[in-house]
Amino acid sequence: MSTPDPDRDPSGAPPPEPELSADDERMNAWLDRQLGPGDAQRFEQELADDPARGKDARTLAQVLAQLRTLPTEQAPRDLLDDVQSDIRSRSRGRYFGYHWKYRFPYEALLTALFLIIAVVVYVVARPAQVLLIPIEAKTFLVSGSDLGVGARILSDYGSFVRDPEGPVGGPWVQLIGDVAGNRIEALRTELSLYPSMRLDSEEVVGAAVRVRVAIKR
Amino acid sequence: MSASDDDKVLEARFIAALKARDERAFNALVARFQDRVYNLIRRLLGNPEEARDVTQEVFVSVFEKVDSYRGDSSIATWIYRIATNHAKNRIKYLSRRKDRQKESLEAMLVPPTSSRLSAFVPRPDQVYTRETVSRLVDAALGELDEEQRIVVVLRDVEGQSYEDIAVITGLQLGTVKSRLHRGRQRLKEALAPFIDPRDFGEDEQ
Repeated sequence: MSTPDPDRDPSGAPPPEPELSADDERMNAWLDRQLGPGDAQRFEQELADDPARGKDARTLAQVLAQLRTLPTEQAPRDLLDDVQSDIRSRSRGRYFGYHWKYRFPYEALLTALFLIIAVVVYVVARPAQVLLIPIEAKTFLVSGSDLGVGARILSDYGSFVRDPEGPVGGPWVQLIGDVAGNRIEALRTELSLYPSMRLDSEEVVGAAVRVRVAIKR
Repeated sequence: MSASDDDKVLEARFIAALKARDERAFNALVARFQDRVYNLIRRLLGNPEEARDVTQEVFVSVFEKVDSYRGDSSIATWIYRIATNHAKNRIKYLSRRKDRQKESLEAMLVPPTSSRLSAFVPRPDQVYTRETVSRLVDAALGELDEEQRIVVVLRDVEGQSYEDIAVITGLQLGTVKSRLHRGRQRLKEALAPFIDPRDFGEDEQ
């Protein structure tokens, strides 16, 4: 059976009802104890003066007394369980669920999964970071002779020679030189720009800093 | 803040919780109204099993449709309206089913069933117990037509005001009054043989 809409009367528009007579209105009001004390007294006097009508009214009052004292029927004690079960079934476990699979927050899990996928897609697909390389560095990178260009860059900071204690062979050549203390920061910055150059050590010697720099061959 | 204002605030919070589908609020609502709704439907249908079934449907409907409650009437009146409409639908359904059964029974030449009230034909020495009177009144309510029964039960059993009955049934106030009057008259006619008007006293009026 379909569930009716509680906002609509299933029987449609009610048929017109004949209006109550004034006497019937008063009888109803008397039965409902809605007459004022004076009106009630007058009405009861009329009933006393008309035995047939009086009997009729008393019988009606008796009937209403029986209706009003009908015992209240108690709802079945397991009604709430049945209602919850019905709602659980209709909502496919969203409400009044007791099993974990009904209670599991599927929506939250899906949202989290979607966010994770979105982050992964962003990280993988984003454009590579553009490295700002100065003109000298470009020259350095494309020259094909890292060592020579590197040495030229270092010469801007001081006098560098091949480190006699540096590694022999391999892709890296180590140079050693003294750089004025006020230029060491600039050297660090510039070296950090070139993947083919590496600042291996720094050692303060008087007003200068003795540095070891490795350059890729 | 007065007690009445406190009540309104509590009621508003309660309704908000219901609209948020708070399960504890809904359980409290069922506990608060289940006897009243069941009693109403039981009196309208006259059958405990059907009443139980319809009461269950009413509360499921309340849970599903609580968003449509706009607060124009009390929550109790709104629930009574849903309950009354569900009961009317079930009465129509049962009536159609009964008609079909009657047609098949008539084919078997079974004599028409007599009024349910005939089971209560009084004997001169009979003393009615409270239970018998209750069954008698129940049977007499069942003899009323559906529209009159609804108004009589809402007014004289459930004690609803005329205005609330008009909201619950969607009828004009005048129609409520006239249906009530005619329903009461029919009940009186049905029950008069079992009632001694001399029993009428001040305590009843």
